[in-house]
Amino acid sequence: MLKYFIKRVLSLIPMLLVISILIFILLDLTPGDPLTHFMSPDLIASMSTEQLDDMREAYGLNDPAPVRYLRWLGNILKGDLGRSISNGAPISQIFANLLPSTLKLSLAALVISTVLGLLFGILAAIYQDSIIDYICSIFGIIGISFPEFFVGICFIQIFAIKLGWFPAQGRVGDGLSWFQNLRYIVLPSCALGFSLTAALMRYARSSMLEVLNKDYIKTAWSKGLSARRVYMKHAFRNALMPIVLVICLRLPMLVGGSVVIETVFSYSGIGQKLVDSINAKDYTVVMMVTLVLTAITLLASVLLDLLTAALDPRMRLDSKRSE
Amino acid sequence: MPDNTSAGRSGAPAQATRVKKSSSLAKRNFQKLVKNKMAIIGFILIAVILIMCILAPLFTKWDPKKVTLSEKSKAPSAKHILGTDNLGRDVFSRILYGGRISILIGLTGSLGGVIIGCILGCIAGYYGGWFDAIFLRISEVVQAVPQILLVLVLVTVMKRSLANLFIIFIATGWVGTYRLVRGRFFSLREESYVESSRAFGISDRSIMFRHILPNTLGPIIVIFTLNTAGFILQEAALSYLGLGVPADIPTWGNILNAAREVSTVTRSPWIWLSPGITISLFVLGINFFGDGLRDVFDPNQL
Repeated sequence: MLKYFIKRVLSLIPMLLVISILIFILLDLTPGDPLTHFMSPDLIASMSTEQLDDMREAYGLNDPAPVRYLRWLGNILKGDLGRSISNGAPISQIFANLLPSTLKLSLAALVISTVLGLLFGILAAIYQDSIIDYICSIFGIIGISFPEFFVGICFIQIFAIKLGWFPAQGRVGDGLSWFQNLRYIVLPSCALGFSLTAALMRYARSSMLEVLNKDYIKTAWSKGLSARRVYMKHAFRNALMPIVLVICLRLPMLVGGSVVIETVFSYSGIGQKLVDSINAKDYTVVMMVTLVLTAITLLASVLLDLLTAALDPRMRLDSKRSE
Repeated sequence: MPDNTSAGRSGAPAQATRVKKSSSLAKRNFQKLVKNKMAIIGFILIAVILIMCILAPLFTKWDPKKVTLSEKSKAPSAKHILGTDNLGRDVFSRILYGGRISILIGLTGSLGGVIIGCILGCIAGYYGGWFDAIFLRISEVVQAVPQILLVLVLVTVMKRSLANLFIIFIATGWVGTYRLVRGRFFSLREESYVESSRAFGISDRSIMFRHILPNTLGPIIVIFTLNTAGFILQEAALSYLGLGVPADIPTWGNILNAAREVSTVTRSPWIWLSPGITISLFVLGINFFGDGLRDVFDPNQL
């Protein structure tokens, strides 16, 4: 078990390295003077060409690419993520300010989708062909067809503007109470989780149906076990595995979706910052955000993977056998 | 695996159940599809919207690009069926002409991705070895990065244009097909008909493309339809952010770009409701139809 754990985490490293190399190459390919990555535009304008050349030497910008890459990577590992081109702010600062909100949003969306998706999917499977099943199927298909930002805009129109239940925009400053924070998160996280909920409902339903048709379930029924036992202890746990896999596969979409949803709701998180940076041609921020978000997604899927492995008794047996 | 046994059935008189004569696999599948009501509804949705977009000039006389500031943000009326947007352009005509581009992007992106994924998957699945190792790693990396981030990064580095968008979508979309084809090839190449083909001296290329590939076509077609839906949604999201198709070319997402301001959302709902509903209906149609296709090709698959 522990071996699997370590292997899995270690497999992350080459992947992250490759991605970091790609990002670095792309960063190199962006137009503009690389000196702007280190110095503010006013400072550059105020210097003469010789001074600028000296600065380039000082920052090691004339070194060959592999050397620059290693230096860049080393800086990242030390915590220095570079500076924003537009205003020179250290990117690690930007992350410290904005990343927590985005993570809260994504996590909320993930929790909502998983709970609702699993609940209704399983109910739909248990009460097959009932009204619940019908509603589920309809919602399932609708949910994956509507563009996420459209759902967001509709939510704003219905719940924020017409009904006034929730604020339409913005995020909270840290001065607000925990409860007020919650009000700001509800709409965006529901919009973000909308399609994931629908997808999970569909997968949960079909996975559960598949399990319910298996022989060991029939055995359980014929043994006279109570419905609760059959469903919860036997069916559900076995149906869970492919569902967790699906969640793993959809995590990147959750991250991607937060970029759009944050823009729709003017929710100040890292996603909105990404869009603004692209428009402002702030390449360092764009590349760094991509790198960090990818790293987080990879980490999250590894964690989920480990969770599945921990839940799967076959994994535990395997490791016992190999010991 | 698929049995083309029309020879076996048509001459058998003493069957307990009445079997449809002359039922090739294709015909049986087609009948199964046609019986699926959702799939038919989906197909009708797709067909109607597609035809209206292609035959746009028949349905609307307004120029989708013509800016008429005097007619800004007018509500739907007899003159403009779905109203005008914030630059005075007729919304209905923008939806019809924009649909051409949006659907085109979806289809070509998906098609390109599927073709590339197929070819790469064939080679990797059949030969294995270093080719497979390299491309598997590449596909893992591409899959690990959230697709929209990949697209955004490429949009930053490349100029914003329609052609570049095609390239970006294809470059990010081949992974699914690749893994599918590769997986199927791994399992199928051990089959006996492959061995016997090789014994007959049939070239590798012929085996790959004429024998094994047709057996994989089913799921590939399903992926193609679903990817089309995915790309249409992606293009819409990108254009909504203002980072997709350049603003002068109308697409469904571009029309929605106006809804970035809350004032448009409240005061002119027709500007964002119409393209939004259109996209949703079209993608809905694709999903219904794709589900039907999936039932036909493999009822066991999730």
